[in-house]
Order: sequence, then structure tokens, then C-alpha cells
Amino acid sequence: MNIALIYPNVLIGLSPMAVAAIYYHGIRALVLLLLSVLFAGFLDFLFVTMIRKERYVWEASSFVSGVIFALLLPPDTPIWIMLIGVFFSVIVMKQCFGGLGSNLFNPALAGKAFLLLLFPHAMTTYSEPIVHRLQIDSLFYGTIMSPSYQSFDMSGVPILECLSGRYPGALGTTCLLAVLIGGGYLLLVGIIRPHAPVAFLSAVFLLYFVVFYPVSGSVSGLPQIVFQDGLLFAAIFATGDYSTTPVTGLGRVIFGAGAGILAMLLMRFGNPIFSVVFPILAMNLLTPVIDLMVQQKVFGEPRSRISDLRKKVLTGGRI
Amino acid sequence: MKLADFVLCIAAYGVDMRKLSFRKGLLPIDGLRFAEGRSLAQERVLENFSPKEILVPMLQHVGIPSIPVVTVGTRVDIGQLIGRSASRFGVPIHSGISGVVTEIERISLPNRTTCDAIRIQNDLKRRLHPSVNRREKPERLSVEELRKILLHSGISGMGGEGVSASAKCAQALAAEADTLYVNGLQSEPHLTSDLYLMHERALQVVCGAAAMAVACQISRVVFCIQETWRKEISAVTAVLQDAERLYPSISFSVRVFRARFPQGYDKLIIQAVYGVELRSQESIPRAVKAVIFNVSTCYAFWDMVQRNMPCANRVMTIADEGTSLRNVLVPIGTLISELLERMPGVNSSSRIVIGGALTGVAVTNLDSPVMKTTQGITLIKTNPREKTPCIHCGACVAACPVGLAPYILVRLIDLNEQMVAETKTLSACISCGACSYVCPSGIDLSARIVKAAHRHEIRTARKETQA
Amino acid sequence: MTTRAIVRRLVIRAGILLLLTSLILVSFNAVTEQRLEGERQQYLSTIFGSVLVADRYESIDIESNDEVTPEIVSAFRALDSDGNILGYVIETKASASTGDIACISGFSADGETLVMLDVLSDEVSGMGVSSPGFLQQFAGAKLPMAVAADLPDETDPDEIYPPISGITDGVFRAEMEESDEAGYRDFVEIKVEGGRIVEVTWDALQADGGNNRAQASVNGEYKLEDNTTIWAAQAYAMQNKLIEVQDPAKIAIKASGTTDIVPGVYISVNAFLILANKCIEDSKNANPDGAPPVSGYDPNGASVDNGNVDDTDATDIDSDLPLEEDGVVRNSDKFDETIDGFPYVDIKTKILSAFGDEEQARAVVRSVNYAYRLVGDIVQGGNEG
Repeated sequence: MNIALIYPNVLIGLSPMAVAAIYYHGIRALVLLLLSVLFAGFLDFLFVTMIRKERYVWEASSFVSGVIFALLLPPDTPIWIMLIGVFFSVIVMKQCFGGLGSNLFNPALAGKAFLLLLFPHAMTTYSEPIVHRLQIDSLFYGTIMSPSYQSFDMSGVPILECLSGRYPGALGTTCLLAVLIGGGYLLLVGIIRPHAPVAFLSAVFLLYFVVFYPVSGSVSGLPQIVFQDGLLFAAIFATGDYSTTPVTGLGRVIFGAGAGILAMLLMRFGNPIFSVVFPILAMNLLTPVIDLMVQQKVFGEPRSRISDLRKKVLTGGRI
Repeated sequence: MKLADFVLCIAAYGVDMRKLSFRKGLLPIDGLRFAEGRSLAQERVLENFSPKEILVPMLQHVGIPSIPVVTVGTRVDIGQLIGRSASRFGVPIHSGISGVVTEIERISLPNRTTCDAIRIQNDLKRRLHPSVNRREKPERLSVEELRKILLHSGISGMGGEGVSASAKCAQALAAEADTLYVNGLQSEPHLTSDLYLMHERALQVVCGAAAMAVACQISRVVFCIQETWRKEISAVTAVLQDAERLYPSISFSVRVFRARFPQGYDKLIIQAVYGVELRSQESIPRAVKAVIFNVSTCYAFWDMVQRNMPCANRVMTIADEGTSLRNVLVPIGTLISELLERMPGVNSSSRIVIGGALTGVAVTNLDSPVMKTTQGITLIKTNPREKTPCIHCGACVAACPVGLAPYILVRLIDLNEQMVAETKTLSACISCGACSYVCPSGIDLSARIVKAAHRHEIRTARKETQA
Repeated sequence: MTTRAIVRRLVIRAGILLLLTSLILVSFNAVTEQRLEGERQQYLSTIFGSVLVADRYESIDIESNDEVTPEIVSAFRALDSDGNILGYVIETKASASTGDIACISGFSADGETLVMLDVLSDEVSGMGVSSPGFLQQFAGAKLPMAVAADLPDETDPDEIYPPISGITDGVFRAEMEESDEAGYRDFVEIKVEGGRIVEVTWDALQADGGNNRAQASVNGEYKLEDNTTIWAAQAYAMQNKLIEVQDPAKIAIKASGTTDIVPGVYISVNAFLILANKCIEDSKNANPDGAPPVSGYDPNGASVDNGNVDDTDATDIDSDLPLEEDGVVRNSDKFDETIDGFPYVDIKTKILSAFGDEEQARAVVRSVNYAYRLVGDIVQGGNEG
């Protein structure tokens, strides 16, 4: 593995979703994607060269977070809102925390969460795919193209359309087959380790029966939950990010399971629009703790020494 | 050998097909192409290298440097003693060429030790020392005789460990070991010296192992080979029958291991076979009543047993990463610079590493000699990678065979090295280099950890490779 | 691996993934399109089926068409399963003061005949312009059309039916004393204004308090033996006839009680005439001094008196026109000779509207006329839809 190869491969893994986004939403999607990517890279470069005054090593991680961020947005997002989101995601969430590898939160998801809180209406209104592919008026300031949906009821969508993504939703997260193809590729190449996604989806699946089934008494809501709002996309790509997920396999399983549980709880008892990004951000926050507690056993030592060592060093010997 | 023969051999000799392995480490899918570019032609032909001069260090083992017994101007023959051991754990040094001693100088070796070294100019006459002649019925030698031969053979752990074989034998006897493992795993990529020996000189290796077993009063010999080396497994199993005729008191078997790096570490072998994790300070014979010897060591012992030829030559691999590979028989003390000059087709613009690509030591001074512990040299294409910060990917954690978290260790070392050294964590590192290899950011984790250990004089489980 | 080899490998992988995704997208959406198209056609059939039945409706792009006015919403070509053009369906939206009226009209393939009109707006169903009686006039109507009240009468104004003398203004009502076999009790209500009968209502109360007969016939609760034309439509026609002829005596009935002079009416109108006569009696009796009717009544629907000219067409009504004795404008030279751009002589169908609905009727007719023009353009230009 070479860092010069990881992020281009992730970009390749994201390309199916980008293709789906452009197919369904046309020029708007293309503009959003391109601008997000370029702006993210530009901001990253600016910050490192101007503020940190270091030599900028050109690798594609900022592009990756730009693409993921753009794919999470609704297709009618005004461009100025998107730029604000990119700024927050790259500058605040990534660079201010220390740059590549040191960020605590997933920058793309944090950007989306930020926009969700600031512009809830723009972030939760999804327009119908295909209808407005070639329309470029009001691209910058953005008016929501009708027909558009605030809370889209997925139970009425036939399975074929669920898979191919022809329903109102965020840019890149609707076409499930694209998500699976891209995710499958990354799993195959070994960039995403399967622990966290599998744990996440298993937790979602199991919790459905605890949380929802007693209420609705049917399994038909399960596809709706799984397909909604980019859950699968986040499960694969956000939990597979390196810097923000635990280091050990068991740690990743805990991460995924925790995120899944939180997601289901939010969906049932909280506001469902937050149920995709915030659980993962919460688990990101817990990642250092998980890393501390879940350690491998050092060869020959009766119990793990690294965590003791780490505690000792970091606290100056007090513990 | 075809697959069918291979299977028959296995069936006949009851090779335990359960493949052993330890946890973690690097798998071939991680990109380590083991001995890429090997071909049959390269195996059959062993080049006999005759250097213009050799520079033989007095310290090629663990312990105190040996003491030179020749002076400038002395004429020496092949197999002549040129340095005597200075302690119980020392080994005598012999000359691998015939010629004249030109200099006795102090040199510093790539592994940071300094010692005396004897420079001998080759007169190309290839005169054998009179003591070198065939023995009758070597298989009939008794334990005491064998031990004496071992003491005088000058063999130290030729897989890189460097522990005097005679001292190890004594240890085994004291601990009443019952099994001798022949370490043919050689999991370092591109190095194939042991594999060559197993493939082409299988009988010598097996007999040498048997002799060693007799010397240690052990009756069970197990050959450890990696699963990918089918030809070697076949070759060894094919000669087991002959060996049994020679040494009827010893039972031989072959144990197959999974292809992993760094499988060849002795503690990892023990973990794979016995399931016991030994700390670096613990001695294997005392803990599990077993002793591990390298293939080259066994081969050298049989040389000594059969015709009284001491350890003065060895087979080593010159590996040009991935493109070409050759095994050469060189006298101990051959200068690397000479090797590289005279080997055709070697790209000398690469970085030279003594040892393997992962565990080797990079040399800048090419006038370093080949030692008893040198398995080969690897030429690595200089590919300076931009170092990016640690992206917390966990690849090093997954790769570390001893369960450390190298990325944390390195961070902690940067923060407070003293405190890290006070705990015993650094000593667990076996400096296999796997973490540096997998790090996508190109951070030299292994080197930093080992350097920190050296700075605090902690003995890491020091390159106990291949026994 | 060399950089070039690495890049090539990445590009190949990217290409494979993109190809796979594109294949999936295109194929899945092709299948979905089919289903969606089917659903859409079904939906259109349910709406358009009331004006023009077809196997398939194809949308026509009218953005660039000059004939498109703001009233036109969309245009469709109606095809049969072989692809032959059966006709056209145009959706229109006409504005009237009471609100927008959405209609759909089906045209024949040559564009000259209106197959049927349907009004989609949510009005009190059965009344006003969505009443079946009104809509029936459009079935198979030749185009262009105009509201009859807007056209100058071709007949000699003198031949206009004179009102009955001696009736006074007001609203008069007469009811039968007993219900008929179906439980309905007929009643007739007449409104006299300016000495003329201007409004007539003929309905029947249900004895047990249900819907009136007109409403019931619209709902389908009340059905005639021969229900070709529902009762409400026939009553409507009778009402209009009485307004036209003013004198119930002028409506000749046969012994069976039916009349031949009102098209579409085949039920017995005996009750209606009896009740109407009674109302007229009441009206006569209510006027003690027999004063002449209030002047200023203009049969064209505009009350000159209050100066509030309800101008919804191209027809201009000149307020300086000389008025005759009974307020009928005779001199038609000063009129603009077009309705919706069609000269009077081209008007092929006259639509009758009930009093009070003229504006809406006008709006509907206007939409039809504009749609007619559009269809004509489409038919001529072979417009690609």
C-alpha cells in the first residue's frame, strides 16, 4: 500500500456513484461535484502552504473528501451553501485538527452535519431525478426544482427503482447498486476493511427488530430504513475512512456496531434526518477511546503493554 | 518434481499436512513477491566466486571477538585457522581462500560493531589445508566426537543469528531437548540461499541436521519449510530415506508452514508449533525443549563432519529486487564491492542492503565483507517516497507479528523516549521490518523503533532470524 | 511497478467500474421507463377518456409554437395502437372572475370538430359550466364556436319573443301539491326582471328530504327509463326554452305531454308548464298597476343602466348605441365582427349559457377556440411532439 495509491483507488470506488448522480441529475450534479472537489483541494493547498507554511504533498485525500461531501448533498443545493460546507469540512474539520491523519471527525460527514443544522430546508428537500437534468438556470442561488419532496416515503418505491436509484434523494446515495459496486471494489482491493461496515449493517438489521418491528409489526419498513438517506453509503465509505476509525479489527467492529445502534435509535426516537451523519460522528469522537482500550496482546507479555505505555507517557507518568 | 510425486513423498513420509502459522505478519497478497524471478536455471548453476581478496572480521558471532592467530605475511590455505575463539561462546575463524595475509586492521561493520579483521590476498592457487580431508563413515561418529568437531568448525548461526552452534548444542544438552527443528523457512523475500541448499544439496542438509541432532542427543528432527516451496519439500522428503539409513536412530519429518513473513523468526516458529509465546529473554531449549538450527548451519556442519572443512564459505543470494536473482558460493570475507563489480548485470545504482529487503541493513560503505551470518544482499531500487504523516490506517498494527502498535510506539518515542525505554515494550520488537513495509505513508517505523532501542541499549529480540 | 503501469492499471479499473455502473443505470432505467410510461398512459386515459378515447397519448412540444396562449396548458396527440392519429387533446385553463376553469377538449384528427369537452375544475358539480346540460352542447360541435349571447342575432330583432305583458318583477314559485310515484314534488321558480322572464328553475323536492331531482339525476340516483339524456339536462333545456320564448303557451305539447320543439327533451313537460303558468299568474297578479317593464334591458347580457359593461370578448358594445323601446340593440354595424379572432360568419356552433354563467361560458368557449387554433396549426405544420 502506498499513500499515492490509496486515495486514487478510493476515487475510483466513488466513481460509480458520481456516474449515477450525473445520470439522474445532469448538469447540476456535475457542477456540484467538480466545484466541491476543486474547492476542497484548493482550500487544502492554501491552508498548508499559507498558514502552516509547509510543502504540500499532492495526494488525493482532499479530493476524496470533496467527492464524498458532494455526493451527500441534495441535488438542488445552492452552490454558495455547498461552498460553505466545503470550507467548514476542509478548513475547520480537517486542517484545524491537525491535517491529514490527525482529524478527529470525518470531514465530509461533518460538513454535511454542519449544513444540516444551518440550512435544514435546503438539505432535506430532494427533487425528482431525471426531470431536470439539463436545466442550469438558478444554479448558483438555487431554487428547489419541483417536483420536490421533503420527507420522501420510500415504501412506495418498487424494488427496481430502489436499486437503480430513480427516486428523490441525495446525489450519490440513491443508486444502491452503484454503492455496492464501488464498495465492493474497495473491499476487494483491501482499502476498506469489512469489519466496520458489516458491524454497522448488522446492528441496523438487528435493531430494526428491536426498535421498529414491535411498533409496525412488519418487515416492510426495513428496506425503507436501509435505503433511506444514504445509510448504506455512509456504512461503507464513512466507516471505512482511515483516520477517523479505530486501528484494530475489534475496534472497528465496536465502531460499526455503536454507529448502527445510534442510527436506529435516532431514527426511531429522534429526528430521522440526523440519523445518518451524527451516529458516525459520535463514534468518531469515541475512536481514540476505543483505540486505547482495544489493544492487541503483545507477544509474550501476559497482557497488553501498549495501552499502559501510552497512558504512562501521555500523562507524564502519573498513571 | 511433479505434483504427483510430491504428494507421494508426503504420503510416504507422513508429512504433517496441517499447515502451521503464527498470527499476523505479512501475507503474499500484501505484495511481497517471494523470490520473484526465480527460475530453474538459476538454481542449478551455483557460481563459485573467487574474490581477489577477503577481509575476514573477527566478530561474526554473538560474544567477544575472536583473536587473530596469524600475522601479516603469513601464508594461509583454505580451511586454515586464522582466529581462535576468545571465550566459551566464541567461534574460531578460518580462511576460505588460499593466499597471503596482507593486513590486520580495525574495521567497523554495518551492524555498528567494530573489531579486528584479517585481509588476505588471494593467490588463486586454491590450496587446501592438509587438515581438510574426507572422514570415513561420518555417520558413525559419537556424540563427543561430534561435539568436538562442532567446536572447531567455527559455525555460528548462519541464518543471521550468529550464536555459536557449539554453544547452542551445549544449551540443548543441558536442557535435555528432544526435538531439533531445521529452519528452512527463509521468509525474507528474494533471498533463496537456504532454498537452494534444500533443493540441490538436500542430502547434505539432512545429514548435517542428523549429525547435529546426534551431537545434541536429540532423536527427532523436523524440517520446517514454507508451503510455497513445493520443490524443496519434495527434494527434502526424497532424501529422507537415505538419511534414515545413515542415521537409523533419528526420526525425520517435514512440517509445512504457511507462507507468511516473517515466519522464519525462531520465537514465531515456536509459537506456531507449540502455541507458546516466549519472551525475548527466554531461551527456547529451556522453555520447550527444542532447538532450532538454520539450513545453512546444518549444511556447513555436514561439510565439517564429512571432510573436515570448517565454516569458511557460504551460499548467499544476490538479489536485484524482482528482476534477477542468483545464488553464489563465496568465501567468508568477500567484499561486497567486489561482488557487485564482477557480477554481470547487476544494477549498482540501487541501494545496497545486506540481508533481506525488510530486515537488512543498508550499507553505504561497500567495502563491507560477507560474514557467516550474511544470507545475501538485496539491491533495492532507490525510490524515494514522499513521507506523509501517519494516516492512522492500522496497517502496521495488522502486520506486526508480535502484536505491537508501531505507530503509537513511534509517536511515544517522539514524545518521551526515556519513559518508553524504561518499560520493556521495545524489547518485544523483533525488528522484522514488516511495519515499515506496509506503511502507506512511508514512515520508517521499524528503523525508528530499533534505533531507539539501540540508543537505550535494549536488546530487541535481535535479528534472531533463522536460528 | 512503473508509474505508467500503475496509472494504466487504475484507469482500467476505473473504466470497468464506470462501464458496469452505466450498464446498470441504463438497463434498469429502461425497464422503469416502460413501467412509468405505462402508468402515465393509464393516468392520461382516465383523465382524457372523457373527451377522446385512445390507446396512447403522446405529448406535443408546444413551447415554440406561436399559437400558444397563456390559456393553453399542454397538448397531446391521441393515437391508436397502430399509431394512427385519432385526434388531439388540449388542456386549457381559462380565467374567469370566479377563478380558473381547467378544461380538456378533444379534437378530431382534422381539427375541425370538437369531439367533447370536459371541465375539470372543482365547481358545484352539475351546475354552471360543469353541468352536463351545458357540456352536452359541445359534443361533436363544429369549430369555431361562440357563446350564443355574444353573437348578434341573425334573426330580425322584431322576431325576438316578446315578453308576456303585465308581469311584474320578482321571484315567483309554484309547487305541486303531491309527489309523484318516485317521491318527488315538482316546483318551478321564475325570476322576472325588467318585465322579462330572465331565470327559470325547474326541479323537484324529494319527499323524504334527499337530493333534489336535478342533483339526483346527476348523481345517478334518479334515472329515467330512457336515460340517454339525464333529467337535469332536459330540465335545463326547458328552462332555457322558456326564457327564450317567454310564454309557456308557445311551447307546443302533444297529448302525451312531451314536446318536439326543444331538442333533447323527451320527457313529459306537463308539470313544468302548469307550474310555469301558475308562476306567471302570480307575477301578473303581483303587479297592481301594470307598469311597463323597466327599460334598459339589453338581451346581449349587458345592463347598460349600471354602466358595468361585462366585456369578455372581442365584441365591443358601444354604449352610445341607440336603444329601441324594449332595449334591444338593433344596429349591429358598429360591432367588431370577430369573436376570439374568428369572424362571425365563421362561427359554426352557438353555445347557450345559463344566466349568470355567461362569463364562465365565455371563458370556456375562448379556451376551446384558442385550442382549436393550436390544433389547426399542429395539423398543418405536422408539428413534431
